[in-house]
Amino acid sequence: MKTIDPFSEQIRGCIDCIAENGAAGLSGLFDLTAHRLVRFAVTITRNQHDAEDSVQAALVRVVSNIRLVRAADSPWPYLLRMVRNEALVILRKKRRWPLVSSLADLLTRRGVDEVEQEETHRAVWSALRSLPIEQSEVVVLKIWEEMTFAQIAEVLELPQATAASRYRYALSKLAGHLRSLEHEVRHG
Amino acid sequence: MAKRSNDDDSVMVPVELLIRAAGNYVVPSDNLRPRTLEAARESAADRAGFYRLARLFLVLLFCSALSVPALDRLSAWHDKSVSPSVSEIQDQASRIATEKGVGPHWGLYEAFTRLRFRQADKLSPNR
Repeated sequence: MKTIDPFSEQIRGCIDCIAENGAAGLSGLFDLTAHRLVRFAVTITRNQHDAEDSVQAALVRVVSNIRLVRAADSPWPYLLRMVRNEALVILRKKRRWPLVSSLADLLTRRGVDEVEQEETHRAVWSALRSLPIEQSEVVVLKIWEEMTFAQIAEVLELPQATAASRYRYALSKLAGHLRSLEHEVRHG
Repeated sequence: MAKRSNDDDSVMVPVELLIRAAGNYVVPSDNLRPRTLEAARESAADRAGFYRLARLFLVLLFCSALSVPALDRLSAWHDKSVSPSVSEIQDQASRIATEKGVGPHWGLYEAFTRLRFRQADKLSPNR
C-alpha cells in the first residue's frame, strides 16, 4: 500500500541520506521519528527504558539493512513494525517480570502552560497502560499516528476488521477509565 | 460514545480528544540520541571489519587455488633439474669401483657417465 504524505516523504529523504552516508546519516531520521517511535514502543513495553532500547535497536537495524528499508513501499509503517518487533522481543525476554502500572518510568515534558493538563495526561497514560497491549497499540496508531485501519492492519499484521474492533473495545474501556475527564472535555 | 464509521477521522469523541492531547506528554531521554548514533556507528564499523576479513579470506582462497597447480608444475620441473650432491656421486663412484674392481678414477668416470644418461633421459622431450 502506497502512503504518500509529507511525513513519509521526509522519512524517505532521511533513508536516502543513510543509504548515502551510512551511520553518519542516521541523525536526521532519529530527530524526525524518535519521539513518535518511543511513545509507540512505550505502549508495548510499558517501560520507557525498554522502549528506548527497542527504538535504538530498530534504528541500528535500519542502518544495517538500509536496502530493505529503502525498498519498502511505506517506510513509516515499516519503521513502526521494526520497532514493534524489537519491543516484543524485549517484552518476551522480560515476561517473568510483572508489568508495572505506575508511570514512574516515564520521562515527561511539561510546558509552563500545560501544568493544569498534566493530571489529565497522566490519567490518559495510566488508562492506556490498563489496556491489553493489542488494544493500546491500535489506539496509539489510530489517534497519535492518525493511521487508517488499513494502515494499522498493515503495521500490526492483522485483518482490518480486527484492528477496528480492537479500537472500539479499547475506546469503550478508556471511556470508562476517563469518564470524569471526558465530562470536563464535553462541557468545558 | 458517539457512533462513527471505522475510518472516519472527522468526528472525534471526547475520549479521543483527551488521548490526542496527551500524545506529546512522554518524550525520549536526552541520552537516547547519542546512544543510538554511537551504537549505529559501532555496528557499521563491526560490519565493515567483517566484510574486510571476508574479502581477505576470499583473496587468500583465490591465491591458494591458483598456487596449487603452479606448485605442481614447479615440483615437476624441480624433479627434472635436480642433480645428486658431490657426496652421492663419490659414494656411487666408490660402489662402482668396488663392484667392477677398477680404480676410483674410473669409478668416478662411470658414475658421471650414468648421471649424464639419467639427466638426458629426464630432459628428453619424449618422456
